[in-house]
Amino acid sequence: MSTAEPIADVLVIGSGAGGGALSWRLAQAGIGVVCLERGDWSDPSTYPAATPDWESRRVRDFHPNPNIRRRETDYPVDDSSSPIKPLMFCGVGGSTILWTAHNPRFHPSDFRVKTLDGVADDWPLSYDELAPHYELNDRMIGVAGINGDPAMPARDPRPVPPLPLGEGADRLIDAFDRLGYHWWPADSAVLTRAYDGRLACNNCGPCELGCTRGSKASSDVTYWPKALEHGAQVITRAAVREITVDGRGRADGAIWLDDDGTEHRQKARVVVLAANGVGTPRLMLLSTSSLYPEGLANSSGQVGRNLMLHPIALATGVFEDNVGSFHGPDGLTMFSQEWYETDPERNFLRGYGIQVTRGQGPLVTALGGFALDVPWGRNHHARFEQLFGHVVTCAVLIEDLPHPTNMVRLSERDSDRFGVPSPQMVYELDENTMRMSKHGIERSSEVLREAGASEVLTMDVLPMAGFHLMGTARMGDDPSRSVVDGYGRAHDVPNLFVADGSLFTTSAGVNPTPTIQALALRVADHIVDTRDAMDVPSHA
Amino acid sequence: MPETGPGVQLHRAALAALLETLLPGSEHWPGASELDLAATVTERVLMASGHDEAIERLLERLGAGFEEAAPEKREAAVRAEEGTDEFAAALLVAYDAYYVNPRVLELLEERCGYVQRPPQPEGFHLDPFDESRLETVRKRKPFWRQA
Repeated sequence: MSTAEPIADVLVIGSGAGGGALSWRLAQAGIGVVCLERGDWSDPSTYPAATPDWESRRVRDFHPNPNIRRRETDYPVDDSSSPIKPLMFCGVGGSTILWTAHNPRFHPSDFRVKTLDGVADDWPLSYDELAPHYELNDRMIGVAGINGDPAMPARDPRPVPPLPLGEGADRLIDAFDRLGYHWWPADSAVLTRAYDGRLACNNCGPCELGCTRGSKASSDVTYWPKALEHGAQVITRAAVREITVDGRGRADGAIWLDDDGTEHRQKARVVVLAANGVGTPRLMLLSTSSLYPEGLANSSGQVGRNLMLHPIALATGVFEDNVGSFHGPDGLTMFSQEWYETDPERNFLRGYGIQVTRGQGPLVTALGGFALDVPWGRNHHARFEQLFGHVVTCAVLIEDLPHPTNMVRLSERDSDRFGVPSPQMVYELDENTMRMSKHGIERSSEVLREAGASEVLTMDVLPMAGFHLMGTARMGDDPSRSVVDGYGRAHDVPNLFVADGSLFTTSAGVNPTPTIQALALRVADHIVDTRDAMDVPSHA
Repeated sequence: MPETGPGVQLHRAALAALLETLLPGSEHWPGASELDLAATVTERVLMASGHDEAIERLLERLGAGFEEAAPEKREAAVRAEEGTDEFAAALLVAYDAYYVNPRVLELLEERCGYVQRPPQPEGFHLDPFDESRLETVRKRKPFWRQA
């Protein structure tokens, strides 16, 4: 084992949305950061969008599911007990490399779920406490959007205007308006104008294959260049196996494996886990010791539990004429939060958002895309022509409630290339979710029909949708019901923090990335503010 | 040109028949045989996708004589495989080969308005967001819950 590395002030595990934001904030404050990243730096010039077989690569080496992509730097995830499959990426920037960059915020009510609706738990912080970090993150990454949304509190103006809607989404506006339903152009972490040295988007389309122009705010092109300028270090191809502790039970570093399987020891004064909602609990459960026999910081038994995934239902409208839906950034264009807040008149608690997305390229359309029914054989071509370029999809993003039986645990079946146990996702859809799925499909279908769709194709739950990995080391004030406090600090281990989707007490009905980044910035500020108590020196 | 292993090569005629069953020609669109999709699959797609073994298992299950069978019988045999991992792999490689074929791309442009070039570096023009479209929804009072 190599132990020559100097002691890091703060060791960050994972360089994605949370790890990038936190590392920049710490480095800017003069704190020495070493980040261990399992994957590689990505070279945007090699992303598929400029190659003739770009769409084929979506189903191969750029597939979002690590079990299908199977890059050397991936680890398999045992998904045999989950109807929703894991989507993630290992590399500098983490899953933001393949992210479609929707950038919504939680509502104030999302932080008071127990108080308002009598379910789950309240978060140990409020929207107002997090708002300054949302604003900072918006400025750092360059968010496209526009103020005035009646579904949300007022906020600072976005740095750049909204993305183009395209003809398909534009058709839905009048339908939403006629029906009296809310809609608003999506906040997107894609630049519509040059910003902070990065190019504006040219509407090429496949954001989820990596952005060749740097217009999409993956954290390798936003936070990491600035973090490196301030002295942060990233060690790539570093597969962390265990977080180590000293005799007092404090985190003192990590053991990681290089490509050859050689063990290295990185010592640190503070450790931050930012390996996503599956990778972080995996590492905590792997890090057993005499002091922590059930896994690190797991006296509550909550590590890995309460996995939330945002189940997605689909309603795809088919229009008689071609709406060119294969053009434009393929994240969502606009959304509705008409059914976001709890309404006692409905037969479910909490709510969902409807996200209007564009269509897909020819290969993914042929394979069935978003709930499409394209047959093989004699009727293939006729049906393909009916659908390709003719569809608009309403994706119903559902707030799933935390359940202790939905969890990440160590797999007894799968392991990574070093023989370290994989995480296993165990997840069941509950009745509240399925009621929301039905309601959301009905309302989406109503809008699509009103907009002129001749046919609506639906899917109750999209299997390949597990991008939002949340809740598995959740925040809370009660150490018996939560893993970390409101600053992401482990109740059991005072110099161990979490800065990814694992933190989420509840899932809300919106995409999690801006909240992950805002929380990570808040965690970083707390480390800066309390550095003296943790023996973290200042190098500023 | 590197090709796939001997398993699929031994079944080359059956592979061609399978692909034609999945993607027969129609009035406007060429079928798999017309494009010699079996060559594309064995020379390029299988190498990249890693589905060799799955396709080989499927072809073995379809059995000797599959390629000589009448189209209806071939279709019935393939339909019996729907739902298997091997069938999913076959559909994936068939479409993967078909929808990057130059002639198919020409038809996609001609019949569907889909420009036959990679998305980058040119990108696409879309009209910018028109703020006047917000006129109706802007009139609505805030409806988020105070907490």
